[in-house]
Parts: sequence; C-alpha cells; structure tokens
Amino acid sequence: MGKLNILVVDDQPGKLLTYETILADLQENLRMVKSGREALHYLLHEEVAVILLDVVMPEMDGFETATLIRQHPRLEHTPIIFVTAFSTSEFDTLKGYELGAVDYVFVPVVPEILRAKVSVFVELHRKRRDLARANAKLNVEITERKRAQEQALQAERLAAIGQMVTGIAHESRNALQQIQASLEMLARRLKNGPELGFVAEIQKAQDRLYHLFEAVRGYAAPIRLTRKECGLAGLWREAWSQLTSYGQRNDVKLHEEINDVNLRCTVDPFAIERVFRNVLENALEACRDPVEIVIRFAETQLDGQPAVGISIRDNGPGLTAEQRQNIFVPFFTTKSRGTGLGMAIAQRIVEAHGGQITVGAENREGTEIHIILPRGTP
Amino acid sequence: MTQSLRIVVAEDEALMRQYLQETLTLLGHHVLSLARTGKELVQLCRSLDPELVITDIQMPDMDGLDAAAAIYANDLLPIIVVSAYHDPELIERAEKNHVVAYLVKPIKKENLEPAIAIAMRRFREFRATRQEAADLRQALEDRKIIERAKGILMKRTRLDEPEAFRRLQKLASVNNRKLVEVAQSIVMADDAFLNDIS
Repeated sequence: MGKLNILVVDDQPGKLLTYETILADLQENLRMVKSGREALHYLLHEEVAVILLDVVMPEMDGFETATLIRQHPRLEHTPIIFVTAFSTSEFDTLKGYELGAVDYVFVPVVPEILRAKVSVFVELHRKRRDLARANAKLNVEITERKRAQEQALQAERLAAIGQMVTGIAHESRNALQQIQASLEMLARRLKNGPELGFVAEIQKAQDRLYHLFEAVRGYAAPIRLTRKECGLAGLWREAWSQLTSYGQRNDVKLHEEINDVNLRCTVDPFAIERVFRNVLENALEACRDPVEIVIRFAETQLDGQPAVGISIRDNGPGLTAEQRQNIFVPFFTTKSRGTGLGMAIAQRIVEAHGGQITVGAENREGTEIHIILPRGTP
Repeated sequence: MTQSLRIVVAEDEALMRQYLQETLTLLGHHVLSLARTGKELVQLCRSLDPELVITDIQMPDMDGLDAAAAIYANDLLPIIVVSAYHDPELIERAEKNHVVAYLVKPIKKENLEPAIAIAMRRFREFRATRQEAADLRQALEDRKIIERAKGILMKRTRLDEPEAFRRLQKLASVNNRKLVEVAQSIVMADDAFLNDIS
C-alpha cells in the first residue's frame, strides 16, 4: 500500500500537536511544519496527498502560501484544506476557494470532521496514484506489444525476402555461368588490345556479383550448427592469419588478454571462426596503420549458464551514431566493396549459439564489439 | 603434370557444350563427344570408353545423377557433376552414385583444371584400393580352399602338414596348374567320394 504524506502547517506548536493526535488514527505519514516557508521547502522534495494549512500565520499567511504552492505545476492540484477561525468573513472564505482551497475546517476543530475530511483526500490521492501507476504499466505493455508486433511483422517480411533472395541467388547461377562461359570464350578470341581490358573489368564485376550472391544466399539459408568442443584461441588465430596473410598491411597487431579464462567451448568451430573473421575484418578495414586490436576475455554468465565474454576493440575512428544503430542491419555498409552482411551474419551465428553480440559504449576511441558465448554442453 | 584425358561431356545447353569443349581442349584434353541428355551420355560412355565424364545434372529425359548410376552399374568411371544447384538432396544422390567431384556453377577454366586433376587422382586411388581389396578377398578364398585340400590329403595319406603342402605344390607344378586349382579338384573329388551332395 505505502503510507501517504499529510502536510500540516501551523505556527502554533500546540495546535500542531492537536492535529497530530487527531490524525494519527489515519496511519499515514504526518509531517508537521511551522511556517509557509518550511511547507514550500518540504513540498519541493516530497509528494503530498493533502495539505492542512492554517490561514493566520506570521510572516507568510495561509493564502500567500497557497498562492505560491499553486504556482508549481506539480502542486497545481494538491488539495489544500484551510484551517481558520469560525468568525472568518464570507469574503475570506471565497478568497480561499479562489486560491485553490478545496475545503475549510473551522476552529475549534471537531476531531471527527477533520479526520473525515483529511481521510477523503488521502483516499482520493491514493486511488489517483494507483490509477496513474496502472495506466503507466498499461502504456508500457501496449508499447511492448506494439514493438513485438512490429518485430514479428519485420521477421515475417525478412523471412519472405530471405526466401525470395535465396531463390534469386540460386537461379542466378545459371545466368552467371553463361556470362562466365561467354566471357572466357570472348577473351580467347580477342587480340591483345583495349578490348581485353574491358573483358577483365566485366570479369571483375562478375566475380563481385557472384560473391555478393553467395553471401546473400549464405545469410538467408538456415543455419545448421555442428557443435563440438574446441578451444576458441585456435579459431580467432586462424581467422586473424587468414586476414593478415594476403594483405599488404604489415603494421597490424593483435593483443590477446586471455586473463586465465578457460577457452574451451562447445560451438560450431567454422561458424565461430567466421564470426571472428567478420569482426576482425571490419576492425582492420576501419583502422589506419598502425592497427592495434585487443581481444579480451572474461568469465561470465548468460541466462544463468556459464559463458565466455569476448571483447574485440580496435584503435580506429569509432562508429557514428548511425553506424552504431545499424551495424547489425543486413546490407548496411560503410565499405565501398562490402556486402553489408558481415556483422549481420556474425549476429546470426552468435544468436544461433544462444549468445549475444553488441557494440560497446560510445565516445570511446575505436570500436568495441562484445560477444557473450555460452560454453555449451559437450 | 596435366595428363590428356579422353572425356565425354553432357550438357543440355548449347553454349555450355561449346564452352566445355573449348575449355577442356585448351586444358589439353580430348573431348570425345557431347551428349545433350542423360540417356545419350550413358550410350556414349558404353560406345566410346572415356577416361572421364563431366555432366550437368538437370537435363531432359534422364538427369546426370541417374546417368551416373547407370554408368557405374556398367563400368567404373570417374564422373564429375557440374550443377547450378546443390540442395542436400542432390548432394546425397551424388554421394550415392559414386560421383568423384561436385562443381557448383558458375565454373571457370581455373576451377576446372584443379578439379579434374584432384578428381582423377582420387579416382585412381579409389580404383587401386578397390582392386587391392578384391585381390585380398581372392587370396583369402584361395587360402581357405588350399587349407581344406591339405586337410583332406593329411587324412587320407597320413602325411604331416608340410608334406601334404609339398605334395600339393608338386601336383600343381607337374600338371602346370595353379595351386588353388589343384586344391579345388581335391576338394571336389573328396566331396564326390565322401559326402552326400544330393
């Protein structure tokens, strides 16, 4: 339930004590203050169900205090009960209502009446608060449901597109073969000359198209994992040596911070090597020499299961907000030659292993990719 | 290094037939004939006795994999399939039908060359292993018959084992027959004298 705050403002300690005794039965939090100033100070920090406000006070009287309270947007509707002498003129009573008083209590106070009036507002406040909470919860639920619906729709669309694209990539093979055959036969018949240069260009474009189609097909095809127990070190080292052995880059370094983490996992070694290759390839392409990539490990857990935390950080220019948001989106690419599928494939593989892949915190030098990989059962 | 092979090709597409003929010739091979269908391929293999078969899968009247099965039933030949498709079902059929290589289109001259070399090598190894296994099986069969014949001789003539074996060897050399043939005759004669073989 939670107790609610009742603020009582009166300059006379004796009267405060009387109110305290009367209102104690309500079993809420009673907050007694001796001046309008103190009341305002308290209201700035605390939420209050109802204010019991003495009209006649030195320095700042009840009406002044009420005026100031009402100026604060949060307190615009906080109920105020004025406590005033029975002899108050009609005029003053009206003034009080204009200032937002919701009720009056006249001295001498009748305990039952005061208690009844305060308790009505406390209950009203409690109901309103519960309603607001339920409403907020409902809003969250609606938002979540909407998001889930959108995701389901998106997934459905992606599945349909995936199927279509796989079909196209498949059917394209015959066409690519015809181009390839014709190109080779054409090249054989051409004398040395500028024409051969064009043929070479067509051949390059043809090769690119072929690799693109294969990448798309690979991305769209269902993932079949063949898990076995293996050490992760062999996998990223193999990926790294593949990436750096052909390249013209020589000033590249990979630092390993294994931190005594047990690197044995039950995963699909080819698939995980591909994840390393795709992430490291991006890192290499993003950085200018000298490249320094740090791969760091930590023991962790995912959904209560033992897992390995892997972080790969480069010393490149880092990612823009747009890049961070779209890094795992298929076909989003910043490279002139990329397919835009590298990170999307990495994500698919990691998720197929029940793991997670995310981009590290922003405003950091370089880009950091975090992977959490469940150890799996051998 | 590259050895010239006599090849039969099957492709239903004219452009690809031309390409394969031209490219294989450039690679130093001899294209004996080009089939358009699986059935044609099977017939050509029977009549031309090629050293290598390169076939498409999707073809009218009989596909390349059924043709491979028909060829294998008749003769042991290395078969390379070239297809735009590689569904698990096709791969499984290719495995069952003794295909030595499965190339996925688009192929290039530079893929074709090593693919042929490796396929031929695997095929020869396979053939040699198969021959070796057959030889071993035969040797074991022979051994069994010789042992039986020796046993019969020992029982009937009271010779000991080395003597019985020497007698078998002598019989073979005198009659200019193989040892296993002599043993076979003895086993058969023994059956005729002793056992009820109705």
